[in-house]
Amino acid sequence: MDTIEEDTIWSYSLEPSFGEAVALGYDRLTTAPDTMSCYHALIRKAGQTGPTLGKLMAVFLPPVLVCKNNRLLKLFEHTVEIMLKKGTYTLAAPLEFLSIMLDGGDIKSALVYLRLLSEIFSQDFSYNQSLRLCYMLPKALGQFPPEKRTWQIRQLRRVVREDIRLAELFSDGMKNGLCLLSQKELSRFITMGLTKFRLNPDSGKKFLSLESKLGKDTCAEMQSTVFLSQIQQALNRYLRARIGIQIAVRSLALIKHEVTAPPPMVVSDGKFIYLPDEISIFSQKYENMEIYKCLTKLESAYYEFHTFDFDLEKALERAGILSEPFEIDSQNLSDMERFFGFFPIKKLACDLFTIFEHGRIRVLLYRNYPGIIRQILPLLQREAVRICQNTPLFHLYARIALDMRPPQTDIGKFIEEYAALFERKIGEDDSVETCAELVFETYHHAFVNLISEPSNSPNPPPPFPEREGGDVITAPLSFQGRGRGRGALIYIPLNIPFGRILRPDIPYQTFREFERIAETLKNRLKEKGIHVYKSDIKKLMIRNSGRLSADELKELIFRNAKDTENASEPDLSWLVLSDIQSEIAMDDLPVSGTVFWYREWDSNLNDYLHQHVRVSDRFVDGIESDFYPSALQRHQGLVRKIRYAFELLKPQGLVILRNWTEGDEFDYRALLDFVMDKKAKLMPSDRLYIKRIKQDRDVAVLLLVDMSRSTANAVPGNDASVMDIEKQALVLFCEALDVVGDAFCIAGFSGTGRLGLDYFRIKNFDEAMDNTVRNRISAMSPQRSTRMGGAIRHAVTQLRHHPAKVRLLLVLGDGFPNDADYKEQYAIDDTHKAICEARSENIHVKAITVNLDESPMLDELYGSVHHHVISDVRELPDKLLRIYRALTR
Amino acid sequence: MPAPIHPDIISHLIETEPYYLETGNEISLFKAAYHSRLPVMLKGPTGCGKTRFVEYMAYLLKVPLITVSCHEDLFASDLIGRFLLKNDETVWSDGPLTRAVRMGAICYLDEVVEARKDTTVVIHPLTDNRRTLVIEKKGEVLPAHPDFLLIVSYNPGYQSVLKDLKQSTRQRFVSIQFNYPDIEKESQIVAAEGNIDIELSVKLVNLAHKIRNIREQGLTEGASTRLLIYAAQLIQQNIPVTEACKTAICLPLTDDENLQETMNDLIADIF
Ligand SMILES: Nc1ncnc2c1ncn2[C@@H]1O[C@H](COP(=O)(O)OP(=O)(O)O)[C@@H](O)[C@H]1O
Ligand SMILES: [Mg+2]
Repeated sequence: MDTIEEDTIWSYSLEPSFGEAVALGYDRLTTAPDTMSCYHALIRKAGQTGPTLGKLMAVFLPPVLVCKNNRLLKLFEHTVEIMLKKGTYTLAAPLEFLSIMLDGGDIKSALVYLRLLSEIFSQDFSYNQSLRLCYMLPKALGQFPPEKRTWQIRQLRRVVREDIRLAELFSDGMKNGLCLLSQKELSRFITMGLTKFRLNPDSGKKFLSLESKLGKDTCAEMQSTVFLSQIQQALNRYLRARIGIQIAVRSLALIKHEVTAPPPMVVSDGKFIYLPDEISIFSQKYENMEIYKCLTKLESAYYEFHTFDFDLEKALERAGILSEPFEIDSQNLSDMERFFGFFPIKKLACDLFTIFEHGRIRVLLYRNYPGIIRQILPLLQREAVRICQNTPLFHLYARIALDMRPPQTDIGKFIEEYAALFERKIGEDDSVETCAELVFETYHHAFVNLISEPSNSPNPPPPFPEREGGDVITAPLSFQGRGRGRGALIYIPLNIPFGRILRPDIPYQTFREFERIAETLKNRLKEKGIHVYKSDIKKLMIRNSGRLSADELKELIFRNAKDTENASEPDLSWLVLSDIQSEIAMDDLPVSGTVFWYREWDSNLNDYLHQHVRVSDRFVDGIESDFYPSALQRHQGLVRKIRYAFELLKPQGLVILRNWTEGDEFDYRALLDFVMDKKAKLMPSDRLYIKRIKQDRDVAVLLLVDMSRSTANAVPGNDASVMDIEKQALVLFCEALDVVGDAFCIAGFSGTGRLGLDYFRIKNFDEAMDNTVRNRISAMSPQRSTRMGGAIRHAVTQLRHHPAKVRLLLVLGDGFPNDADYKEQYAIDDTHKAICEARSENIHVKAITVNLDESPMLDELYGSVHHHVISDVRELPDKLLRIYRALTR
Repeated sequence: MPAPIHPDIISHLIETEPYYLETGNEISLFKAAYHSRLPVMLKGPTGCGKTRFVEYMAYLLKVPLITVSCHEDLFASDLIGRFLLKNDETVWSDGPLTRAVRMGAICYLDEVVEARKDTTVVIHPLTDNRRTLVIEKKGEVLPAHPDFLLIVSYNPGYQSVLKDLKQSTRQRFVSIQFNYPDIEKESQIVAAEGNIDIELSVKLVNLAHKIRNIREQGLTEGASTRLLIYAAQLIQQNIPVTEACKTAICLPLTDDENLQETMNDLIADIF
């Protein structure tokens, strides 16, 4: 204790900030008191050189010391010594990065890093170079992902050992794509680069930094790892095409549910299919790509073939059971899990179910997509051989789900019997509930014959309980007690290729709210003597993103009833489907800018609420920045292309086409020739007509940008936000429209509540594209909510008085309208109404929605042929103009 | 008194029954419209059977049919007629619309939006209760033959807003909505027209449905029945299925490589 005090006072007397650092340092070391004496010695030593160095040591030593790693400490001291020869100034930034690594527990990388530093700083270079290195190194290494940086830094060491100047080029190369290479690949690439460098320094440098085409190509070719981000778009498009429902792929890292360790290669929650961030199983890129595709195709089959629409009631009916055999604590359980709960060994029931379900999917895929089976089955079979468990259950899986031959043993014979049963049942009815029926039929037999092999246990396994007069209900019940009582049996769960065990709980969580509503509804209807299945209501809700209309419900009931006897139209007038949403009063919201009032369509009332929405209209305050020019710079190639394309759109005035054999008017000169030829007894040409085509282009467009909060979301694989990209698209839009000469206007909108709608003007029709406008674009930033109807009505006010022949309102959004007391159907109806009002004034309204997967609701919002979806916002700059061009060609 | 038979009529009658499978109640709708001589607008995406339907109805009703495909360069005179020079003389030659009006035919203006706006105006007096055609060049006002009927087709897909049909034109027609037929019917059509077996045809239609799912990702239109029939015909000529689909369905739809890739994946899955 005394030393701590003494050290602190001593260091404080040298310089207060040193003193503070020492105090903090000791504080940090309270978790490792045995290192304090070492700390004491080292800061004393450093402090004697000067308080600056003392302070640096006081700050950066504790993270090293708490690791209690001797090698690390020695290397640290050694490195600092070397760096000090260049000057104390070299220490701060590099050591700070070291602390970050150590705080993250990454001692391995820290060691490599220290070696790198000592190697670099023992070389000769100028003060300027040294300064630059101190700044650049930590920054560059900070970009390396922690799980890869150990070997990435090692490669950097190889490079600087060759020539210190290559450090920066290596870091550029990493940014340009080397970061995508695996350990082996990167090492191979660096070897090639260094060889090149020795032969020809210049081309070697360009190669390493991926500036040369050769470098780029080599890197791309080497890279066998496939990243989800590279293939995500393609997978989503595929899903959209194949299943037509809203489901998209996503990184497994984003999953919120617990998954087994090691994590499965694929799992889904009804909205997303989760896949690993990268796959590098094979040495060929395309093979890894194939795995991504195969996993997606397999997982999506659950949705296409309704695995998770499993309905317990249907399943029990199929097994001839009329009510649940016993009440399990079914809170928070999906129907499928409740079903598994009927069996003493849930895990076994689940595994059996998985076996049959994967078999069912194989059969259905084979029927509908033989190509998928051709691609996938060999892959799955190979994987099955690799992970083979050699248990009877595993062989059963291999036979039924993967169509592999079982072993030629007694077990094999059983398995073939199961397979025959499976084939027959699925042939009769291929719905998911058939699998439940199969589990009912096979569970006991499987338990007796496939799980506990008689040879292993001295006592014969619990006998199969006799069914009492075919009473299926009690069979699993009476079994339960015995299974538990014995407790000797440890069930080893089934291992499945790519960890694809069924997880009904995950999609259940996603749609739990729907499930609850469906359940309530089903019960209410039951009280009235109307029967519907819960899963059918749920399916309907999922398809409509949670909405449930009385009409659809009626149709569902009607369809059900038709199968039975009373096929009359059900009366649902007593049913109230919607909850009334609470209103948030915000009457006293401050406003700036000019105020306008608009009506809003209330779909519940089926009437307008007049003077309901308050819009404040003002210009955005511009900010000086280089955003505009740098966006132009970034899209240089595209800008050139766009200029050209829009040049072509420009009207040329009157076009006269000559030499026609027919037309509206004679061509005077051709007529003269005709007469002359006649006179000269020559064969006259009959191409005497001209055609006139008048070209005019009188288009005015207002681009209305949704500036809601969600546009702050980051774009994957990019540090930009949705808004950033939208702004870049605006830049290109301005450039293009300037070329073609169409009158255009840009505005943004956002706000909170019906009294707080903001309308931001960016560019008016009569304003020229000058710096003021450019700065306003730079200043656009994500705001609050999206009350779209009011914004559109105000935009129409602005557009209404423009004299152009064709007036176009282009709405750029990133989702559905949403605001306080402005949700879902209400919001959609009002927005749609506003659009209809605009159309009635002869204003064309078209919409572009970014970063959203297609949804039938978009049709409802904008009308089916009036909107475009760009699910990847990164494509917006290009697509916006293509769409505009197509719209006005 | 029956109207005199125009000599041209015979050549415009459709003699053999065209194959047509009704997909909704369009036949009875059309018959009713024809009965009252109401001009008809057929709306729907390209290649879904509009033209075939008109041929079929002309056959059923035993009325001659004159079809004009509209395009940007179609002038009023291309419809009405013009003076031509023949041996130093100028002679009048009737355009297709005039001929139809005279002989009492069905005149079918295919893809009418493609025509220039001033061209579409000439049909106005024909489509209201005047039922006349004004031939300005000759100073003639030609009353329509009692059997005459005007049909236009119109594809409200992703068009240029500059080409939208004017309300004043639209509101002269009764409209019949066409769409791609449902899976079962479309498969029957493809099998019949492409002369392939129904199983293969179902697969082609399945493929089309999946492609129609991604229409809004950049395809201007989904894969039409017509393209499916083309594919079937290629397959009938022993072109391998995959290649036939690519050639007849994917490549015509778009140049976008990403979309091509997705479509190729689907083909590989289904066949
Ligand atoms: N309902 C139908 N019955 C028979 N053939 C059809 C039907 N619908 C489409 N077809 C086939 O599709 C092809 C394209 O149809 P078409 O009438 O040319 O389309 P559209 O005029 O709508 O562009 C026709 O040649 C025909 O073979
Ligand atoms: Mg046609």
